[in-house]
Amino acid sequence: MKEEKKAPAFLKNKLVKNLICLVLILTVAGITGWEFYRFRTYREEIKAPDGTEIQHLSDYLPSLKGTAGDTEIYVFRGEQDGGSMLVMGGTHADELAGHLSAIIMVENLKVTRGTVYVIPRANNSGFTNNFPQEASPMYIEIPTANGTRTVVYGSRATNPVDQWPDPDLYTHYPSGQGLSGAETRNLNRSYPGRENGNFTERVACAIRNFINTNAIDLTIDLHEASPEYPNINSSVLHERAMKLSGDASLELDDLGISMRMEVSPVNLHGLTHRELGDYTNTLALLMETANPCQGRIRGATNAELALMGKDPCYVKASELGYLYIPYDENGVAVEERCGRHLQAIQVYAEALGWVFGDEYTIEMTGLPQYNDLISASVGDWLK
Amino acid sequence: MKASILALLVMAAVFAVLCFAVKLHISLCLACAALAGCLVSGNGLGLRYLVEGSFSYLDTILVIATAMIFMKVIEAIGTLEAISTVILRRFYRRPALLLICLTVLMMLPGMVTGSSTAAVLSVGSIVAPVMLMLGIDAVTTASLVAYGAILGMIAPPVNLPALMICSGVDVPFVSFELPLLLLVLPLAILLTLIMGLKKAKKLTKEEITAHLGEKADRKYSWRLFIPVIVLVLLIVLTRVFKLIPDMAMPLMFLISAAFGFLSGKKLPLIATLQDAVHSCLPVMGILMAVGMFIEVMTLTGVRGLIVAGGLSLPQTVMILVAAVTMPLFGAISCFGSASVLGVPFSLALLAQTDITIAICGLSLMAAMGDFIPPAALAGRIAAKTAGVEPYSRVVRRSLLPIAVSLVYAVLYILFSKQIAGVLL
Repeated sequence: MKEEKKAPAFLKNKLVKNLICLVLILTVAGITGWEFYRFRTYREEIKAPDGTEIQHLSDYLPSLKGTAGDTEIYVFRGEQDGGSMLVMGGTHADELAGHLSAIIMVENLKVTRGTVYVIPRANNSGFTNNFPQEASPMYIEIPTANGTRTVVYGSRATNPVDQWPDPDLYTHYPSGQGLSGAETRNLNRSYPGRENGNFTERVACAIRNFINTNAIDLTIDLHEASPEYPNINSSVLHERAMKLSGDASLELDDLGISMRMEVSPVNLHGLTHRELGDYTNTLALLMETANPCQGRIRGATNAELALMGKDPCYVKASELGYLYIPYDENGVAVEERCGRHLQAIQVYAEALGWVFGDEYTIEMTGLPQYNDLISASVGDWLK
Repeated sequence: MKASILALLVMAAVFAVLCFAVKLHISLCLACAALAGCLVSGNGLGLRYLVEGSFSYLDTILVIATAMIFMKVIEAIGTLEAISTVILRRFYRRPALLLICLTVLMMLPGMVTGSSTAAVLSVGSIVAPVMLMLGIDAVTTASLVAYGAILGMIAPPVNLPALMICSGVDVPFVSFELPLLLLVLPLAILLTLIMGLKKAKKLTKEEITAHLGEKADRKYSWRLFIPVIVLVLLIVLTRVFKLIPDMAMPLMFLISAAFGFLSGKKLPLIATLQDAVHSCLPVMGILMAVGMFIEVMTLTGVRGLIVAGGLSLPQTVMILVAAVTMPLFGAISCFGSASVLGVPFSLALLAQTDITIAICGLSLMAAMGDFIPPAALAGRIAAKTAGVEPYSRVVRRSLLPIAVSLVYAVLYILFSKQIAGVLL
């Protein structure tokens, strides 16, 4: 006769079983809770030159003070008067090249004419969490001449700790457009924002107030998207920025950088290129580069993919004709993505003066050109 | 890519062994498979990924838990019995009309909340007893209840899978109402009648009196209906008229349940709460494990492998491929299917179809995953409501509505430009 397998005697005791489960749960909760807490409170270093003027979003909407929505605005004023430009990175904290380009600007930029404002962590709360099911890396380590720099790789959305719960259906204010519930925590679906709105709407409102108060002439929102997304390697712009963007695109073409122009759809609400264009006097545009670490077709997700942009699944998708950029086994490294952003920012700043007259001119130096970046490493431009 | 294939094989093997040989609960099988995926891909125990993934469906879990509390409260005070008896007393002579009304009733919560699970949990317990009393067998009842709830999730105004796809391809969720109605209503009416009418009896007055027993003449106090009236009011005021801020479904369920104290019946609170949580614990466990599983699929590249594999098939059969892979992925999560597969398929179909109509069709394909095990949330809860075990019996009975829906969705996408020409 077959002997029946019996559970160990101590496991038959319900109290013992429950205690074992409780200890296991507490152990996992303790370990991961500490990891999430450390991530939420981690502040990456941004080494602005000594004496750089730093403002905060809460200066433009006091209710953000002391919250995770408050963030630094780095101000670079030239000795001569000229135009003004705002560059935002980190609207989506999982779009590495946008965030990194803004950091490179803060650490290297010198402005001789006009004023340039840089916000590297536009949705600061997005840098304190990762989006579930995306398996994103928390930190990206970049070697520099002065040691390894750690940059945060966050989430597309505000941390639920700061804004929760999501509605089933997000109704955009003021258009009334319906979006999926999770988009309520997406800064780039929350413009123009409102003072008494939810957390993300208040961040959007502060940015709008900042633009209005400082009469910003040009606003550039830096993004990345998956290689299968149609609007990559492009500028999506408000219709008032058409002339500027046309001239800038021609100049970028001359430099060997193809940058498509897409006009912001009038019925797609909440985005910088639509609402900041409609609710402020700024010329609003959004730039996208291709980041395979964000796509649905990507293979294993890790920091290396975010930096090197090499992915065999995308090579296959490219061969099948599903991508909107040329893509091969060399990938799309962060140097190329930051290079595109930084070169385009410089060209747009120059174009402001050509298109609207001398009083709008912005003159700046110190930033790497596209070719400087693709022949080196982003770490060479971090202090 | 080899590492991703290895991870896929190991995860599938661990799941299969634990599920079919060891016969562990599905939530544990999925969690162990996810853990194995972490280990084999060199990510150690990957505790951070497992916990992060398990938070994916926190909101859904709260909806399920609170909806179950609401259902147990109205069951305890006798509202469920009252509603099903009143419906049967009024409509027993016209089974076809009654069946269609029941299906529309079944669809309503999904239309407003966007969740088939919430629909089964809230109205399933009212509809299922009436169907059973009509003479429809329990398996068909479970299938019809789940199907109504799933179609409700796809019907306008709130279709979450479509909203997720729209977000991924930057298409505004506007002008979807008519195409979604045309997609859902014919299926709802046709399949309900095909599956239910044959089995539903046209009862006589005597039969219904005998069937209901003492309930046939019982007078029900209006106070029994207070929790249901409050719930409907809250949903209508927040979602339809938008007169008060949206307080989210969990709070609506809890507030409505609290009104059960005004029913005049004794409400054993602690026992009811315990019973509710106990009833939905397995479903909540499955949801947490599904979140872990998808997170590890993403981490290891298994997700990309599946998507790239789907896209690599000939473009001419792309829509058919979507009709097979989306419900299959929906077996893990219908929302995951919409997000992971729906977005790339939409982008691939962008040039050849009218994208609004195509997204409607793709959302229906993803929704059919709510029938497919292991997760099969709507189906499992419907089976439990109708008292059917094992769930595989409901799956077999649901093959017809699943197949018809998928064929209809394929046709919808194939003829999207013509449909758009008429509707949009």
